[in-house]
Amino acid sequence: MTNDAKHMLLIDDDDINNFLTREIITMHMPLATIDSFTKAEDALEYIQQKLLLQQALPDIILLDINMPIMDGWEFLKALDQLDLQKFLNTKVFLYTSSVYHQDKLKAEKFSIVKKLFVKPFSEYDLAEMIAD
Amino acid sequence: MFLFAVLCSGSFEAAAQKDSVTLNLKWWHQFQFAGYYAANMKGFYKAENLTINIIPGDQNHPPVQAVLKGNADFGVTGSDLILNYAKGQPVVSIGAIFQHSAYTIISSRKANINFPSDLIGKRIMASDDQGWVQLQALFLKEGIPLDSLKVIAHTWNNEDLMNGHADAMTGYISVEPDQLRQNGFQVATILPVSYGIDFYGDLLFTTQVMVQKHPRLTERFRKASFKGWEYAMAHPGEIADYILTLPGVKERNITKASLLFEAEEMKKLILPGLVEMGHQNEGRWQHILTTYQSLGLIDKKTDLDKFIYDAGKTESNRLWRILLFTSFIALLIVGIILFYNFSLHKAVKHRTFELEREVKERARMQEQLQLSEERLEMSIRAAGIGIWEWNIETGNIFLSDSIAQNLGYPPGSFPTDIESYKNMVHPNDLPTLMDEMTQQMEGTLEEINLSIRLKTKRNEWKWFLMISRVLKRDLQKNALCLSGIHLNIDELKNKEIELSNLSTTLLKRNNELQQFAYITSHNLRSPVANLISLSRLFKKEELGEHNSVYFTKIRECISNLNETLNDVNEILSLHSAGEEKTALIDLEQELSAVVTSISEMVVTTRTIITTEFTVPVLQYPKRILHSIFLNLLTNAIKYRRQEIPLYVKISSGEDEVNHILKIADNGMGIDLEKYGDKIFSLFQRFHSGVNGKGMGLYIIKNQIESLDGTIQVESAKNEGTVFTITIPKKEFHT
Repeated sequence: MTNDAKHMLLIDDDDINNFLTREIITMHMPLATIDSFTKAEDALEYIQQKLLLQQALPDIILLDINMPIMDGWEFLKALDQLDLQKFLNTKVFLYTSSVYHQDKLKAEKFSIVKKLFVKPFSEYDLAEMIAD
Repeated sequence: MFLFAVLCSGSFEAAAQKDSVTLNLKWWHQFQFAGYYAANMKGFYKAENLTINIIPGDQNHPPVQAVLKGNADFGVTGSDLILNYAKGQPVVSIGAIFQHSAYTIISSRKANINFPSDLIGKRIMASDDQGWVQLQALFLKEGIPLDSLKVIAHTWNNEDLMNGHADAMTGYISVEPDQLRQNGFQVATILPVSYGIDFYGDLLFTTQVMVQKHPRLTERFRKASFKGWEYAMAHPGEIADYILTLPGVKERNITKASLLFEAEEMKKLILPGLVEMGHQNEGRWQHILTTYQSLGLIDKKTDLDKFIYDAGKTESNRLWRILLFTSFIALLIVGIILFYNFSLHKAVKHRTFELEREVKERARMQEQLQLSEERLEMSIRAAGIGIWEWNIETGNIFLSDSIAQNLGYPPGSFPTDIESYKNMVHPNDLPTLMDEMTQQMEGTLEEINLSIRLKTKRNEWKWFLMISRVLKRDLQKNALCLSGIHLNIDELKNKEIELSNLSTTLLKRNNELQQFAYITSHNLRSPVANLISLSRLFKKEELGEHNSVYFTKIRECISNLNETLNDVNEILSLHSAGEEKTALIDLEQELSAVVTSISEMVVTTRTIITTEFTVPVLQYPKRILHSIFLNLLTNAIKYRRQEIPLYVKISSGEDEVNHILKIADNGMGIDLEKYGDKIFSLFQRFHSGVNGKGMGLYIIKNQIESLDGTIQVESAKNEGTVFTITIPKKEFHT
């Protein structure tokens, strides 16, 4: 596919899913840097840390919607509270095991969200993600 | 009408003149002439357009000479007038006032002169122009020669009789005897009438010229004079007072009493009420004439022709015209009456008919009203409606027996004051009720329509629908009386509450269930998605032959599980289909997208799809249209007849209110008689041996209906199936 050294952030409470996604991405993009979190709040802290240290933010965030404690929506809201200028190069893709119409409408309200995918994550989804 | 004008001018011309007339009396002012004073005083002359000048008479002003000379128009004198007439003087008696002559012979009672014969050789004061002629007739009739009497000139001084200068004197029965008595002089009188000499007394006269030239004037004067006489005789006191004011009356020591005596005596001569005022009988005049003739005082050839005034004679022309006129008018009136009668008859007939109809109509309405009342009463009773009324001024409240019964009270044993009523209202309902009643009394609320609870006799609560309106307001618009109904809605209200509770519970349950289904499907779907991923990564070729077959089966299972979960999710998201954004969808384009997504299926089954989109573009949610095409197309393919090629025809059209989509196939068909009502239910499958989860039709039916459309099916086994979908136009017009 491509050898771009993209920085990807996976956020899903299902660790198997994180593993599988990482498998699929590394299969097609061996140079990608992949960080994964099972708790959205940890991922948020990670981003805040990056902002604090003025380090580059991930190019792509793959965000699950349904998670305990902090779900995908809450994570997106928390991102909104941060300095959005710093996210100009970051794309968020939501992915969920079951897509409800309301979720699609909700997703449209966040400009940072580019698309909503249905699991299982496939190489086609990956291609669409990095094509933009 | 011309005739009418002529008659009028003839009749009323003279009446319009204003005339001044002079009346010469026979003597000085006294009651003897009361009628003329009365006519003047009471305006009877004025009413006839006459101005009257009344001159008293005496030796220097004898009335007959005055009238004949033209110094007066009318005069008053006695029946001696006939002598003047007989002498050829043109006089006419126009009315007799005194039906009997007032002349009498007065003497001292002491002189014992009681009969005419007693006067022989006696000195008697007499005056030719004051009754002596007719008194002569008395003597002659009694066989007393006139030269046996010593006639001396009348001095018109009562004292001459009193002091014996004369033995007797002529006078008026109504005047002198009383004057003498007043002076304490007892008198005796001899009246001619007692001896068969009955002459007219005072009469009203004028000249023949006057009667002929001025008949109207004569008539007007007569009329007014006689009217005056009638008044005078009826009101002697009033006229006496007036006479006392006339010149020369008081000077003669005349008192009211003497005037009233005179009036009383005159009544006997005038006979008011008995004889018509002014009446003259030709027979009596004839008697007077004959008497004079027999005395040799009047020539035998004299007749009364021109002496007696006859209104009829002089006025005959006028009367004839009046008669003619009256007849004409009468004829005219008769004609008018006849015509009027005719139309009246018609009108009466018409009106009678109308009245009859009105009466019938009223009767009918009365009947209807009664019927309505009965119906109303029946309805009120049947419906358990209780009438109530609150008189705010007195604080009294009226509640009909129906309410009492509903609350378990015996009829009539109900509170009648507002406070007791308030105590019956449930404390939770009372504030709202009182608040609304206050608003209503102030006029800010037209009608109260509240459900309230009232306490029954057993201390239970019963629901009533309470309706109230203001019956009466005072000038300040404050309510004086509220009235309305209480309707027992206890059963209904309790059911409503029950239902409301039930639906609340159901709603809660439904939400819980949905939440449960949502979580379940989501939680199930996550591991399934993982399984799919894992199976994709799995290296099948690294397995042995047996395991490879098993793995293929595992994959199929995972795939089925995934599809089922997808459908369940679809169903769970159905309730929001109405919120979905609509778009203008090109049907051809959308269909080809669907066909592409299942191209493998279409190609391998050699399905032939034809389209006829009369309406090429629809405003509809894209996802749902996609779902409809996909489901119905896959259904058609799944349930095709294996032995013949599958034809699917998809068409669009419209009627007035709907867009219509039709998907027709020549497949197996569905036995609608057997499954008709279940076809769109969840998890229903009608064919064995075919892969299906039984959710497709359920999903699209719900989607279509959530957008106010319908889906219907026509099918026959082994012939095919037609699905017809309607999409309301208005919903999607932008």
